[in-house]
Order: sequence, then C-alpha cells, then structure tokens
Amino acid sequence: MRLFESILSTFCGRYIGGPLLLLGVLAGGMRAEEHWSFLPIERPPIPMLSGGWAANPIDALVRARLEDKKLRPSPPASRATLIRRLYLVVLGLPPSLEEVECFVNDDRPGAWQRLVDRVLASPRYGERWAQHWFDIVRYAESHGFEGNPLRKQAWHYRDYVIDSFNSDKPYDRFLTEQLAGDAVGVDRATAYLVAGGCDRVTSPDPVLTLKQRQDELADIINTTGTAFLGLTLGCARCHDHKFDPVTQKDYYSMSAVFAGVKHGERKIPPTDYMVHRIGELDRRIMELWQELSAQLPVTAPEELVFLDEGSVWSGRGVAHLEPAEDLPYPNRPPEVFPEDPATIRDPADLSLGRYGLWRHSGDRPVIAYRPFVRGPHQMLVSWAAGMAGAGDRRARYLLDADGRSETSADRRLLLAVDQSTLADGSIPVGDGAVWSGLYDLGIVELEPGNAIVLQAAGGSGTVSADLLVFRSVPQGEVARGEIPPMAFRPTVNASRNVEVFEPLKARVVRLTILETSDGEDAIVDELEVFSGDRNVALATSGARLSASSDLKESEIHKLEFLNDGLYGNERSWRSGYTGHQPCCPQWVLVEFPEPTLIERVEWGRSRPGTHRDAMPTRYTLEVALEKDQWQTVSSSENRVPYFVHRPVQPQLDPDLLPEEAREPWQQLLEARTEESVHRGGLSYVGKFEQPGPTHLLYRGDAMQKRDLVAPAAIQRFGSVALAADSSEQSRRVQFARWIVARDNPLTARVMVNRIWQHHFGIGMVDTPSDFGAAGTRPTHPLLLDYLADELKTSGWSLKRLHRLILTSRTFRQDSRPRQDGLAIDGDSRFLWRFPPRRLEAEAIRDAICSTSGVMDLAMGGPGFSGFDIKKRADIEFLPRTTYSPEDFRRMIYMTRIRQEAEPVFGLFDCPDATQVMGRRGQTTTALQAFNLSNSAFVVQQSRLMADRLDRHTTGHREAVALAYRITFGRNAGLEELEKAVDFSEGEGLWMFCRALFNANEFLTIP
Amino acid sequence: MTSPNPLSGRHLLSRRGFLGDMAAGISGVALAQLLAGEGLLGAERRSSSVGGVEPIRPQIDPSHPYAARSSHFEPRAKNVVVIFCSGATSHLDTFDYKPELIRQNGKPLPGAEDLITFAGKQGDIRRSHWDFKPRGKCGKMISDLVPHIGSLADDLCFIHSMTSKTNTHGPGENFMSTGFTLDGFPSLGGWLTYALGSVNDELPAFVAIPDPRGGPQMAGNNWGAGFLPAAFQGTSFNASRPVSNLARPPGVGAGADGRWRDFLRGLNDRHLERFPGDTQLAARISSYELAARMQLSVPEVTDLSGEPQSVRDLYGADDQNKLKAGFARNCMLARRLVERGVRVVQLFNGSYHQGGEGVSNWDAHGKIVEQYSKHGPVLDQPVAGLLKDLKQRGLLEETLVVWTTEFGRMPTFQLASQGRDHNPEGFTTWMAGAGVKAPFSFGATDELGYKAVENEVTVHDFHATILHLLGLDHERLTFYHNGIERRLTDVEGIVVRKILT
Repeated sequence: MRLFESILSTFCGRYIGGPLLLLGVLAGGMRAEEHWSFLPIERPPIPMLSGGWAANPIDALVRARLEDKKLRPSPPASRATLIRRLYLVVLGLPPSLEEVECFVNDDRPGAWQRLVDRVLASPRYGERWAQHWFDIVRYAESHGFEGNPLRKQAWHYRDYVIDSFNSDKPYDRFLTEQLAGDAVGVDRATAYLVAGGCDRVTSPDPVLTLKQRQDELADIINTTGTAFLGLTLGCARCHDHKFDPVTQKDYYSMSAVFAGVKHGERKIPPTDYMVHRIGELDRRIMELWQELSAQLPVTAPEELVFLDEGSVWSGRGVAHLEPAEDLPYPNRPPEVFPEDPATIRDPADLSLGRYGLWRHSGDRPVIAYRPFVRGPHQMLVSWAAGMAGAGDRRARYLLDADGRSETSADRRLLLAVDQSTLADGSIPVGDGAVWSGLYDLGIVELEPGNAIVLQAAGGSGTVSADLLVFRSVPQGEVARGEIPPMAFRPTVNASRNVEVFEPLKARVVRLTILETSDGEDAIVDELEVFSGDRNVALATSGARLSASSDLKESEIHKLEFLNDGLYGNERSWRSGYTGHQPCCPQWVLVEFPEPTLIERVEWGRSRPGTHRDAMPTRYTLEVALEKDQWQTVSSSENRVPYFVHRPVQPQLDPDLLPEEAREPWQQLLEARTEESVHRGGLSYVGKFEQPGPTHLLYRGDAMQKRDLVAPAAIQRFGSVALAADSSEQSRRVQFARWIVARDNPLTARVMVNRIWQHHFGIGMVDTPSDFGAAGTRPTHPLLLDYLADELKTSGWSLKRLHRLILTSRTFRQDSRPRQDGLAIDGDSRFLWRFPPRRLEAEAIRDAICSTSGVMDLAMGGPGFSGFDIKKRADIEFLPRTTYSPEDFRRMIYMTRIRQEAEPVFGLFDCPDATQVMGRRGQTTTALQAFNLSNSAFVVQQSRLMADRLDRHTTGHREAVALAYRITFGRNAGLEELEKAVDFSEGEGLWMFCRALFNANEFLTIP
Repeated sequence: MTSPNPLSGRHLLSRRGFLGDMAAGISGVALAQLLAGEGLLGAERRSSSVGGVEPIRPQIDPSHPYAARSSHFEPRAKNVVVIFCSGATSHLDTFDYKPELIRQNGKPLPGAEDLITFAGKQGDIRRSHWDFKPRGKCGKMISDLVPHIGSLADDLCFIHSMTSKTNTHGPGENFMSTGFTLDGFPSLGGWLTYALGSVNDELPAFVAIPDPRGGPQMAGNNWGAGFLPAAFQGTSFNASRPVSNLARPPGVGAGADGRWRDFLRGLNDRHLERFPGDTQLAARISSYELAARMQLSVPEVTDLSGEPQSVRDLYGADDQNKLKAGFARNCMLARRLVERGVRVVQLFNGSYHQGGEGVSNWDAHGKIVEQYSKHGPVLDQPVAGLLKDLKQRGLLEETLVVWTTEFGRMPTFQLASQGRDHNPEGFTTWMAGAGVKAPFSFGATDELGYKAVENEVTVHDFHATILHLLGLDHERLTFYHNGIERRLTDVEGIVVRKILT
C-alpha cells in the first residue's frame, strides 16, 4: 500500500488520494478489461421501429435513446435551412444563391440525396475536414519555442491531407501513411510525425540536449495516442498510467518506435502541384526573358558567363524542358584539388563533383540555357564523361533562335558529341563518371532571346550536363582569329584553397573577405603563408595577427586559432563582423617579425571539410613590404564564382535597369526562386535515422536510464513483436499496422466520434481525445459501435460515414428550441433537435470572402500570411493593415503560426497548434466584436460586398434584397427590408454589409 | 437553454458521478451495467476524485466569461501585477549580495572544470561591477544598479532561493509564465482570470504590456490561454501600441457607428425570436454592447495625458532616456489598469525583437557591464515609481506586485567572456503588497550565489503562493484537457507560507 501511495502522491494530481481511491486503482488494474472502449467493437441489433425513422440505423438508434429519455424528435427543417446547414457543416462555406434556389425548387424525389452526393464530391470538402484534422495533429508552419521561426516548406502536408479527404482515402491507409508513408511512397504524409513544435536552441550542455530530445519524442507519442487512439499516453512517461492500461514500459516501447524520427526536411517526390507549378513557372520565366530581352544590358567585353545545371547566376537562366526521368546532381566523392591553378588543358573539376543527368529514349531536349548575352561569344561546354553501361551517350547542342521550346524549326546544330568521351576525345579510365573538361565550341553569335538546348541524339541512354562558359569576344579579335586561351581556377572550397604567386618579399599579408557562402560573418580555420615548404605565418615563428573584428565570447572561434597550426572548426577565427557593407569589409592580417620571401598562401574554412557555412567566397589577398604599399597577389576574381553551385539571387543591380524592366525583372527573380524551391523538393516531413538502444527512463528523467526496451505498442491491446535492433522504418510500419488492426477497439470508435462531433457540434463522447477511464461514456454507445463497425466493414470510407449521417432524419431535424426538450436535455445531447452553433474562425472568414464574392478558390501550394512578418533580431508577427486578392483564399491556406493567434479571427477559439485540440471552445468576447466590426479585413470585405451588390442591382432596395438572399439564403421580410433600405440609404450600402457580417444569423450553423 | 456549462467540461462530483465510481471501482461489473443500461451514467464523466482533494472547476457562463467569480477562500490580494524581466536578470548584480564573490574575484569556481552550463565552460568568479549598499530602514544590501527599487527595501519581500527546471530562455519563460517548459499551456494570468473573472467588465480581465522595444522571446505564449477557452488569453497592448481593432473604421463617426450598432441589434433581436432563450446568441448580442463601452474605457485608460506632472516625474515618464520614458509610461498604464479593477497585469521589461543576446534584454553573456548599465536605469525608477504610486493610493493593500525573471546567472564569467551564463540553480524574485511580509528575505543561495541552498522555492511553489494570495488552492483549480485534470502547478507546488503575513 505504501508503495502505491508514494507513487500516487508524486504523479498526476495530488487532489486524488485516500484509501477509497487506492481501492479503485487497484481494482482498476485488474478489471481494465471491462472499460467500455477497450471491449471489442460489436455491431448492435437495430431496434425495430415504424415509420420513417426505421430506414436509417442512425435514426433507429437515436430514436431509441430519445424514447429512453421520454423525448420526441423535432420536425424536419426547411429546405433553405437544410442546404445552408449542409454546406456549412460539410464544406465550411455557405451555398450560393443559385445552389439554394436549385435545391429549394427541386421537386423530384431524392433531391436531398443528390445534394449530399454533390456536396461530398466538392473539393471544398477536403479543405474543410483537413482543418478539423489539423486541430488534432497540432500542425503548424512555425517551430514554436524561442523566436518561433517559420517552417517555409511544411505546406505539402496540408495539401496531402486535403487530397486524402477529397479522394476518400481509406482511413486506415491515411493513418498508416502518416506514420510510415516513406514505406509506401507517400513521403509527404510523414510530416505528421514532426508537425509539432520543436525547440531548436542548441547548447553544449548535454542534459539540456537530452531533455529536448525526450520532449520531441513525447510530442510524437502523446499526439499519436491522443489523436488516433483517444488515450492519454503522456502520463506514462514518468509512471504507469493511473486509469488506463498503459505502462511506463509501453511508453518507452513506443519511444523506441519513434526513436529514429528527427525534425527536419527531406526530399519528397514531386507532387502534382509541384510538377504543374514548375511547368507554369518555366513558361512564365520564358515570357519574362522575352519581355526583358530588349531592355537588359548585355555583357561587357571580356565578361565570362557561367551557367550550371539548376542554378542562376547574374540573371542568366537554366530551364528544364520536360520532366523526363530526371536524376539531377549525383554526388561523387569529395574532390581533392591538388593542382592549383588549373588551366584549360589541365582542368580541375570546376563543378564541385555535381552534374545533371537524364535517362532518355529517343531524341529529347532536356535542358535549355539562356545566357542572355549579345554578340560573338566563345562558348565552352562540359558534361559527365565515362559511365560505362549508361547506354547511348550521344548528345547534341543546338542554338534555338527564339528561345521557345514549342518551336523547333528555328534550331541549328552547334555540336554533336559522344558524352562517353572527355572533351579532348579520349576515353576516360575506369567505369565511373568523370568531368569531361571544357569543350571549346568556338565563336557563336548570340542574341539575348536565344537559348542553347541540350538534346539526346537518339536511342536509349543517358545525357548529362555540367558547367557552360560564355566568354564575350570583341568583334575585331574574332576577325583576326586572335582568341587567347582561357585559364581560370576552380571555385573556392571549404577545406583548402591555394594562392600561388611570384615569390616576393613582404612584411605583412592581408586577406580581405568581401562575401561569404551564406552572408554570415566569415570563418577561417587556418591561414598559412609559405616560404618554400615552411609556414612562416605560425605564431611559433613569431608572426602576429590582427583583424577587422573577432567574435569575443566564443570558445571555438578565436583570432589566435588562425595561426596555431591546428585545423578544424573548433580551432578557427570568426570575424563576428556584423556590418556587411562593402566599404568596410572583414579582414585578417599576418605580420612577420622581418621582411620574408613568400610564394604561396593556403587557407580553408574547415580543413576536415566538416563545415561550409560562413565560408569566404569573394576575397582579395594582398601583401606589403612597406606600410600602406599594398599589392594584390591573388583574389577570387579568376575563380569560377561560388554562386554557380547554388541558386542565389542574381547579382545584377536593379538600379541599372531601365524603369520598364524593373517590374518584370523582379517577377523573374521571384519566379526563379520559387521554381528552384519546388525543384529542390525539400519538405518538412522529418528525417529518419537508425536509432541506438532505447532505455526506460526513471521518472521520465533523461539522465536516469534503466532497462533496455524494444520497440512495441501497448501490450494490453495485443502489441507487435519487434526485435530491439529492428530497422527504423519497420518499427513505424509495424506500429501503424497495430493502430489500424481490425481488432484495435479504439481507432475506429475515436474517429467516428470525431466525425460525428463535427456534424452535431458535440460528440457522443464529449471528451473526444480521451476514451480512457477518465473520459466520459458515450451518450449513444450502441450507435457509436454500429458506426465504428460500419466504418471498418466499408473499407474505412469516411465519405460513406458522412453520407449515412447526412441522410439521416436526425441530421435534418429543425434546430429551434422546444420547452419540453430543454427541460429534459438542455444540451440537446440526445438530439431531439439539431443543435445550432457558432461557426469556427476559419468558416467565418471563408463565409465572408465567399459572400462578398471575392473568394479565390485556388488550391494547394505555399500559403498566404495572416501577419505582417517583421524580422529584426527575432521574428515579429504583426497584424496586417491591408489585404489583396491573394489573401482571399480559404483560411486553410493561411500559413499556420504557433503561439500567435491570427489577428482578426484567432480570437474565435483557434487552437495554438501546440497540443491535440479535439474540441474547440465557443467563447464570446467583446474583443471578437471589435475584430469583426472594425478590422481592416472586415471593413474591406464589406466594401467589396457593396461593390458586388452595386454591379448587379440598381438602387438600395434591390441591393438590400439581393444581399439578404446572398448572405442568409432567404428573402427579407417586408418590415426587415424597409428598415434595411432606410439604414443603407442613410449610412451607405457598405455599412449595411458590415452589419450582415456581424449578424448572428450569418455566424450560426442553423 | 438551461445548459450546464460546456466550457468547464464537467461539474463537481455529483451523485451520479459518485455512483459511477462506486459502480466501476467497487461493486463491479454488474452494477455498472445495470446503471449504464438505464442510462444513469449518461454523459457524465466518472469523477476521478472520491476522497482527498477535489478539483474546483469554475463555472463559466459563456455569455459572461469575465463575470467575477468567488475564490476558494478569503483572498489576500484582489489583483496582481507581474513584472517580468526577459533574458534572465542577474541576481548577483541586483538583489543577492555575496561578499564572498568580492573576496574570490578572479579565482576559479570549485568544480568548474567539469561544469558545462548553457553556453559552455566557465571562466573565473567575478564580483559584481556595482557596489551593494544598505537600503531602507532594514538595511537590506542592494546594488547600485537599482537604487530606486533599493530605496523601497522596507516594502519588499525577497525570495533568494528560486530554482528553474531549464537553462534555456524559451522554456524558461514558458515555465515562469505557464508552469510548463513546453509551449501551449495556459498562462498564470489565464488561470487567474479563468478562476476569478474580473470586477470590471469594461476592460479586459488580463492585460499583457509588452516592452516598448517589442515582445519577449516566447511572445504570446507568456499570456496565452493554452487549452483554456480563448477568452482567458491576455490582451496585449501598451502605452504606445493600442488594442487592435478598437478604433472605428476610417470615416465612420461615433453617431454612425451607434446607428450601425442599433441596426445590428435589430437584425439579431429578430433572429433571436426564432431561438428564444439561446444564451450563446444573447451573449453575442451583449458582447457588442460591451464593446461599445470598452471603446470608451480603453482609450481612457491608455490616455496618460491627464496624469499630473508630479506623477509622471515619479515614474520618469518624461525622462530624456527614451527607453526609460517608454517603460515608465507602461508602468503608469499598469497602475491605471489595476486601479480600474483589471485582475492581472503582466508587465514586460526587455525584448528579443530589437536585439538578441543582452542587447535589448537581460541576457548578458558577453558585455554585462555595458549592457546592464543601459538596462538598469530603464527598469529602476519606473518600477519604483509604480510601487510608490500604488502605495500612496492605497492600492498596494489589495494588489500583489511580483517581480521575476526566467532564471539567474552564474557567479563566474563565461570562459573568455565579459558576461555571465544562465543559471537555473538559484536566483532571486521579489513580491510586494497584499499579503506578503515586508521587509523580508526568504531562502538563500550558497556563499557564491550559485545554488539555492536554503528553503528552495521552485517555480511551482512560486505559482502556488501567488494563487494562494489570490484565494485559490493550486491543487484544486483545474481544467480537464485530453484526459488530464490540468493545473498551473502540474503535480507539484507547495505554498511558501513563511513569506505570508
């Protein structure tokens, strides 16, 4: 007894205690079998009734309970009410005028059934029910915790959920995909696992790091238990569950199931949206190029233009021509750069071991380059040579005069080449891919609208692309045939960069950094200056350092680490410089004790190659013998720019553009950025790693490890057998099978109750996320089991369940209160009427946009923002002051932010997406009234609505009459109409519309 | 509708609930089935409490969520002002005097070689840059960084033995404001207004006043409702940033807006005729009437122009230091809110929006002397002004003022740095006003001010004590959410009775 007492006093709630309770708990442990929701789901017999209430089993079972309670049902609601109720419940939008009239006047039998079918087939259905789903899976597009940074690539999950509801994906499959979609090719579904908040603050403190990880796992376990099973698993993190048969061991078994799940982005297969959008953007980019071609400045003489597959530099473009089987960017092992500088005859790999690759059969253009230059240019191309067994490697480079992929008559051949060979025609040694080196195509006359198209020459094989160079050549030199050979050096790299120059005497050497790989202040791990083979920059040689700046508080970044002879991020200098103005850059300077003959400088960001961030990418290296007599000996100028290797905003100064070119230029930049994001395909769907062993943690304390635990589910419900070292994915797959197993008594009951709740406002179980012993019992236990069984036996079709509910008489009852009903059942829990309720935040916003006539029904893709986002030191989410048409999409497409309530509608009980929210509050406050009557959003919508009325009517009387029909789905009464016309004439039509949006009739599901 | 309250989820133990427990717990299956068959168990959740401490769930009328509700027992304080210094204010440079720090200045902290705190390794012990002097009649030693607050030492009740569960700001702010390190739990102010409502229904019951420089690190989570009904989240505004959407739309005069409201009322009254007695609909109607009153009362309370110069000077509201003047105006606003019966005011000092680490907040890792020399004066006189003003108006007798921060700082400087790292092992908070002893100091850290060694007070204890002062039993104030009777104090918390009068 003492043991139990001590456990209890420590855990969930001290208010419980005392011997009576202990008895209950002890008994509870032994009789867990009897708790209603843990019993198998059994299809009940349907009571025999006469009349219309017998046809639908829902009605029979509801009627039986009403009779138990001595209640009688309400008569059917009017058709106008019914269609409004149906649209608001199922779609979250009011019906249009035409839809109302069509239904009200449909005298044929089966009108309601047809309407229900039509409504369930609407794409708006998925948007509505995804909203409910997000409440329980705590999905949002920011991390929460400190600073609450945005998760820009999280929206794919939103589209996945909408698509799943719309296609009536079987619920068992839907759940399985969210737990282990990576095993069945539905990668974006696993975003569920990491949809919660995540504390991203890092610290060397190991205790903190362990705690953070345990909190992440708890978030996944708790959400899974509460959302899918209606079980509170969180309690078992510290101790066996007090009411339900969940042990602490069960908790850590589930912890082992998810132990390999990490927060972060993963590449997902292109979705329909992404493919469609990339095509759209490519077309748009093409148009913009055409538009800009006459206006942009062309290249200056001696300018080099580099184009690499998948990147943009200096405003020149690369476009993929069709989604052929695309194997972009295979990575070769890290390259070593022993020879430096390279020459055209002796090239280093200029493209950092990355190249584009396409499988093809037949002639296929795969990529188009738009160098956007004018005049004669020496053109050099390169590819991945070698690759024995890759099939036909013949490729052709064509010049496309109008730059449009649709037309091919304007193309002329520049080069036909067999890409299995190197640029000089020789056959590479070995089987793997090797960079071809640059092939000199000679001089090509180019116009800004031209494109270079790379195309497979035929057969079945592989075509590849790597760096292209366009070098402007003055006309005179072309005529004389004097084209000097080109030599330039490879891009800077993180580990080792060599600067060789003629030996000279110097007293000081200065490295000035103008740009870094990510815009952060620069990091250099070691700066070596060689005299012969001797590094004369070492502190031990007497050299002294000074710098523009130094990160003061760091243990791993110190100025003195620059010449301590030790490599790596842990022994490096970080400038700590925050200015970033070109006028006063970051620099570091080595001073020798006496003038020294030097010939070479070597430097790196991190010699072991572990870090690429904050890497200097543009720099100059100068030396001086006397004070201020600086002489530049090397720089990044003759290197291939770093930016070739990642998509960046072009460097072109928009101020130099002609006025009329600025807008299309800006659009071009945006289109390119968006395209590269979609092509990158990264999404916040979590990362998976094979985890180490999982231990039970005493009292949930990350520092107190106990027994090893193998992955499993809850023993009480027939767990899964998995070895302690099972593969990461198999853990989640097996766990998902257990969740959707036919004999799992909870999964179907919990979902049926949630669906029911969103029809009637409250579930049969009013603790929708707690089906354990501390939750409530269902008002209609037989009906709940009937529907749960129906869900499973119908192949887990949710739409079938909806149809059953929506076609019931129970759903179609009138909603008006009756004294006899209220006296017995004030909450209408037994459904003697349809209980009316206020719309949720999202439905209010959507209904307003839809009524004002400006709703944009575009589906999918990145969302719009409900805030003006200001980034100072931390992100600030400020209320918006203006709204434009892209903000008039449905609210499901508004970026969901944790911690912050959307400034206008958040107060209408939007959950904060930190925990499962199975049932929203229904509060009423004066602040809601402010938002709905005075916010810029509602005022603008009221004016837009007035414009709409003005366009379709003449005079206030007509406008007001139409407004009533649009807004409330009914005609105004005579007296109403008179009052409204008076008001509208006195205060303006928009003020009348503003009142409509605030009216209870508008805000209520009738 | 005679509906029982849908917000509180369930009621106090009823006969039916008791039967449910008896049935399930003792008498076994037969009785349970019998009762269930008769529908007796109905929709009532089986109450989890039989003996011992029972939860007291406030009955919220959805039509009037802020209606004043009675406390569990006679309260000592009616209102509370929480002054929260974001970024973790160093106790060693303000209120926790440690002569040993001066003696050991420059020496290593014993055991520091194995000690990794948030930012890493330790440098040497560093004394405070600011001298400590005896203050007030009681002679309490307080630093020169906060001389104005120091001068009120006789009115303050210090807790020198606070500890936190986390050494990270975000979770630390969460913990201090909500009792949990994770996001998404109801804030102290949320719990208090859920329990007690407010006596003034023309102002929000719970106001969060962000620093003029911006919000704290966890922003709205500090004043959020979590899983409580949204009505109980704090309303955020300060002396320079008004309540959102309070103002009438551009071009709409007071007369027109009044006629608009009358017209809306007509629409709603007609609709209500079809749903007689529907409290939700009635509540929406009255919320517009209340909004109309708030439209007058909120600008009145935020308009400081009527404050006499002597009062403005007391706070430093016209100081040349713009930051100080801005914070001083927020402190004046806090007094005006309390004066009008606002239940909870949460006043923030420090922000992460204008500058991270220590720049516009108390997180001085690198340059404590430079940064605290700026922050000290911004905090000091305005807070002292607030205390004096409350006292001279007699408001301190029914108002509890709490000064706190997320955790303390180390007695050492960080390795190779000129500032102190995070320290959740020991820090100082203080209270003043209704129900607490003054002058009084409770608990202590060790001689170097590193760890709480005497009468440790956890954040849960701290919260339990605040609830107690407001007349609430922290073990009984609960809200049922996802299977758990949630409390502000989780499963912990002991009221610190020794600091109570």
